[in-house]
Order: sequence, then C-alpha cells, then structure tokens
Amino acid sequence: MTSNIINMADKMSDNEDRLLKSLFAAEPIADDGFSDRVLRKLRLQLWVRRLTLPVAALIGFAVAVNPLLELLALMPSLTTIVPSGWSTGLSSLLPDAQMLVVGGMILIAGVGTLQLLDD
Amino acid sequence: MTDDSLLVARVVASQDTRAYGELIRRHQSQIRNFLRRLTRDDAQADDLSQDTFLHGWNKIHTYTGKGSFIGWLLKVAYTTFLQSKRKTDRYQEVLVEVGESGGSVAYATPSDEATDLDRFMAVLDEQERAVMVMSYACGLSHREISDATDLPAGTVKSIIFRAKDKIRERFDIQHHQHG
Repeated sequence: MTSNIINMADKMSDNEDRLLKSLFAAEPIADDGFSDRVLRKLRLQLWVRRLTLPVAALIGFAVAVNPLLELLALMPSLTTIVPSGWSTGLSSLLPDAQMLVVGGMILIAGVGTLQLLDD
Repeated sequence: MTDDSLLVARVVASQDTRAYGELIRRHQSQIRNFLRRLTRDDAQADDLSQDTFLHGWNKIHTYTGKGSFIGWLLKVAYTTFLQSKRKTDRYQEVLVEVGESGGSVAYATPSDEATDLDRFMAVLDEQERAVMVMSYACGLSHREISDATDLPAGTVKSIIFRAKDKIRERFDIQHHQHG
C-alpha cells in the first residue's frame, strides 16, 4: 500500500518534471553573426591590451627624453668638478645627505647597467 | 567533433581565439536562452551573453575540467547577470531618489500575451528562476547547479522543491500546455 502511494507520488513528480521541462524548453537561437561579433570585440580587446605597454613605454620615453638629455649635457661639467675640488667644490654645491643619495643612485645605476650588460 | 576540454586547453595554452570561437558557436544558444529567460529582454540578454563570453575568456584558466564546460559557462553568465542587475538596481535607486522614475526592474508582469512560462516565472524570486532555468531549460544536474550558483546541493534541491510548490499552489500545472 505504502509503496503504491510512493509510486503514485513518483509518477506525479515525473509527469510534473516532464511538463516543466517542456515549458522551459526553448528553441535553439540561431547564431546570426553573434559569435563573430564577440570574437571581433575580443580580438580588439587583446590588441588594445598588447599595445598598451609599448605605447606607455613610448610616452614615458618621450616625457623623459628631455630631462635625460639635459642630464647628459651636465655630465662633463660634473666630471670636471669632481677631481679639482672634491672636498670643497662639491660640498658647497650639494648638502651631505643629498650627496649620499646621488652617490647611491649612481652606484645602483652602475650595478644595474653591469647586470644588463651581463644579461 | 572536438571535445570542449580540448578546445579549452588550446585557449589556455596558446590564447587560441579560433578555438574560443568554436566554443562560443557551440554554446551561444544555451547562454542566450538562459539570459533571455532571466531578463525577459532579448537585446539585454544578448549584451549580457557577449559580456559572459568576454569574461569567460579572461577566466577560462579557472575551468578545471571538473563538470561540464556549459555548467562553468552558465556560472559566468549568472555572475554577469547578477553584477549587471546590481548596477541597474543602484541606478534605479538613484533615479527614484532624484524623482526621475519610480520604475521597477522586477520580472515582467504577466499580461494577456504572456506565456504559461512567463506566469510561472513571475511567481518565483530571482534565485528560484535561475535555478529552475538551469535545471529544466539547461538540463544541469543539482551538482552542476550547485557549482554554478555557489549554493550547497541541498539548498539547490530545496529551492527547486519550493519553486515547484509555488507553481503548484498557483497553477494546476498538469493542465498547462507548452507555451
């Protein structure tokens, strides 16, 4: 008796499920260029992403090139200052703390350049 | 026919857009149908489907091959839908605050032209709708729905049970025909 009731309930549930499935069933949607549109957008995104770094580097270089050239132009005058009046001339130009920072930066740049050359 | 997992592997290994294109062609219909059922707006659903596949590309490395690829894709689609809905809700709140509109983003009110399914869907809440569509329209197992919605499998079962109960309460579903 109990099993009959359970079977009936299962049957009803199966019928319900079948009905719900048919109600929820939808016709397949034709592609109609959808995939191509998505791919076009995706490729554009990838292209923009790939271009971002080189363009940013180029802009950075364009911004930095002028100060770099100025720095390079100053280099000869710095080399003349250092040997002739190391203790007096340079200390009058720069305070001690700044001297240390500049020295550290030159050291780091030197090590970096050597590493780059090594690579 | 190439297995989905092989195409996914090609996408992950070499960013192969042609392989991804094949995956889109295979699954666009199900994703668009799923989102059309949730939004009741074909244009919005297609926009969300497009976003789904774009997000899918960025996240495809997270697909581990456990479960079907369509299950994973439906998870991305559902997340995309929820994110978009949150944005729309916020926008509606702002509009209401500034007195521009009292518009609601709730499910379309059933009208005379509404199908049986529209009427059924209207009595369900958003989560129930998503779970029912995944189960009955997309044919996902409870386990796959659980993965897609981040809900425990037991909760998925009780949501389906509750949704069917709601439908049963309001409609004599045995006498409804496909609409």
